[in-house]
Amino acid sequence: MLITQTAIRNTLRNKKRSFFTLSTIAGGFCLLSLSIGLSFGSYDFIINAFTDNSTGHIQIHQKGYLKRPNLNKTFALNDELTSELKKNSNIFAYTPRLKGFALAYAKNKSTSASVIGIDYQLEKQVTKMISRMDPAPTELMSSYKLVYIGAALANTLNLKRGEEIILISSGLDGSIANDVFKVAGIIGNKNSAERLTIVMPFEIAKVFFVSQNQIHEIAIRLSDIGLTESTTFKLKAAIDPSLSISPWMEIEEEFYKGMKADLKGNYVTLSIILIMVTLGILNTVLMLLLERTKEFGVLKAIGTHPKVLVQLIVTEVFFLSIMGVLTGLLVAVPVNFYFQRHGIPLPEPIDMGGIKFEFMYGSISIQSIVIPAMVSILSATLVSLYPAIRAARINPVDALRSN
Amino acid sequence: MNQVIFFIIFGALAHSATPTAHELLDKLDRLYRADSSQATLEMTIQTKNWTRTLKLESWSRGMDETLIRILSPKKDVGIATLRKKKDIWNFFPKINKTIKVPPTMMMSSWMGSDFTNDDLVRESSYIKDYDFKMADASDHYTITLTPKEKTITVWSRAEVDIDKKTEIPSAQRFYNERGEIVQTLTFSKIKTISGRTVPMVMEMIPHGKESQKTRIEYLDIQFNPKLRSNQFSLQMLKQTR
Repeated sequence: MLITQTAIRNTLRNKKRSFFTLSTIAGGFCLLSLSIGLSFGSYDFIINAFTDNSTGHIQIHQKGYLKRPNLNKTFALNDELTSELKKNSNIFAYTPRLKGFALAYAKNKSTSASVIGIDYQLEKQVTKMISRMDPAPTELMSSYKLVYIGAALANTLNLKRGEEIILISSGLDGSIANDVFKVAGIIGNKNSAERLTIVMPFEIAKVFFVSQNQIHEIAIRLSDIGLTESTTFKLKAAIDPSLSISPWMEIEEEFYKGMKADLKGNYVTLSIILIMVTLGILNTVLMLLLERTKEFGVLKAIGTHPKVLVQLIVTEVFFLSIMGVLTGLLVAVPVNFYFQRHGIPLPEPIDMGGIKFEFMYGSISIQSIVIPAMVSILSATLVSLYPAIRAARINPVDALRSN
Repeated sequence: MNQVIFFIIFGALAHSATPTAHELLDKLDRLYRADSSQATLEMTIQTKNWTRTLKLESWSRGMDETLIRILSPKKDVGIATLRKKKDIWNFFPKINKTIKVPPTMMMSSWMGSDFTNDDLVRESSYIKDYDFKMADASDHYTITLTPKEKTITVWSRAEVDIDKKTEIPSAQRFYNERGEIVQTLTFSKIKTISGRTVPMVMEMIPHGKESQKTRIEYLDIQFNPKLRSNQFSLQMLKQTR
């Protein structure tokens, strides 16, 4: 108790000196927090973007579908499966999808396109795909086979809302799937993932592909993205082993691998920043203690145990580093928050596994606030051990003689 | 007189006993070809996931014109394909549309079978477009065909087995640029119909695709029937009769 009191009193005694040490620690903390925040924040933003936009957090397919999609790799949407999904409390919502390829013809133009059949009501709860479709005008509502087409496809086929599109593909029974559909509108823009996709209601896709109850994919949204790995594990144990349960890390495997490699590179940068910060703190603490050599000489001369002296100095620095981190928080949190909201535009977008980085984003999380705070406090305290021990070993006579 | 007859028969036999590759290929080139033909056939497509049988009717005139129409199953009745030289059109009665097959789709499957659109239009002649070499096995000849420089094809080489007795092909194997076998076409059920000896069954077996094949069986062929002058027109394509 005496040590804590003395330590606090000591730091307050020379405010200028304490402020200097404190701001070094605060600056170091800010630097760490921002660099971690920017790297994690940018990735979080992208991960949320594609899981929200189209993939969901977890998907279910027939084994091998993700590597080599094929119309015939289907599975049955049966009660056994749905009850298992409903039972899992981590699952916020799920939606079935039928996926295939078709030749699309409009007027005199043709191209190949991917086709996806989704349940509009369920899909809304899982991804934001529906929000990217502008609602069809009322005069089209009475048409039965309404589809939405990607912007690039609309451009290639020179198609506008209300015009006809012919799709030819094969059915699940091997028959020739062919039908005329009406364009209800465009989905997304020319940069969206579904720029070459035709989106149709699930029931219409079922008829087109001659599906009884077979589907290609279930997309699952969890109550929190952090539950992805544990839920995947649970589902794998509960569901028919002929199905594969893929977390977003597998669905967007290329991106995930790129991200992992990039983060590893970041750790090197972060370690260098950490070393610089630590050396800065060491330097200020050393200077601070050197100035007080006489004072320690007096303390030792009146019989202070060296151990107590070490404790006193370490406590002082510990106290200063906490104050430093708290001051740093005042800067790091608002700045990180601002970047989380607005981002820093990159001069040149970076492509990683087909997903574009256009902005760098900050993040406020355990990684970007709590970890740098702990690292700053810990490294400052550890670094103070060396000068503290040196001070404790000092010969009082030499110390009193020095200036 | 007898001697003359004997000489003619013997001479003919002697000639046919050692046919040249050129003669065999010429025969192969003209195997199913006539000035015109009309046939009913059954196509069975077998894949890992489903098997379906289509009944088809086909007409052809010369080497440039073909019309094929699906007679059954009910769901696909009336779907038809017309070929004129290198152009192919498909007609889909359900949507009442005639669609020209784009050049990019030539290598795609025809009606879900193991035959491609290109197989339908290919008008290559073995004699004109390929260099050939013949090998002699105990009961058949094997002719190796390598495309001439100007020949457009996806195969690096093909082999045809021709039966010694009937001089009719029994199998044909196709290889890709890496020299791997891609598909085998077999011929069987040789029958003399409308005065010609032809294999009634053809089976296309793609390699590396588990339990997949397409079998075509001619139920009936007529050679040189009377055809309407507009038999090979877009108008006839749409006729679901």
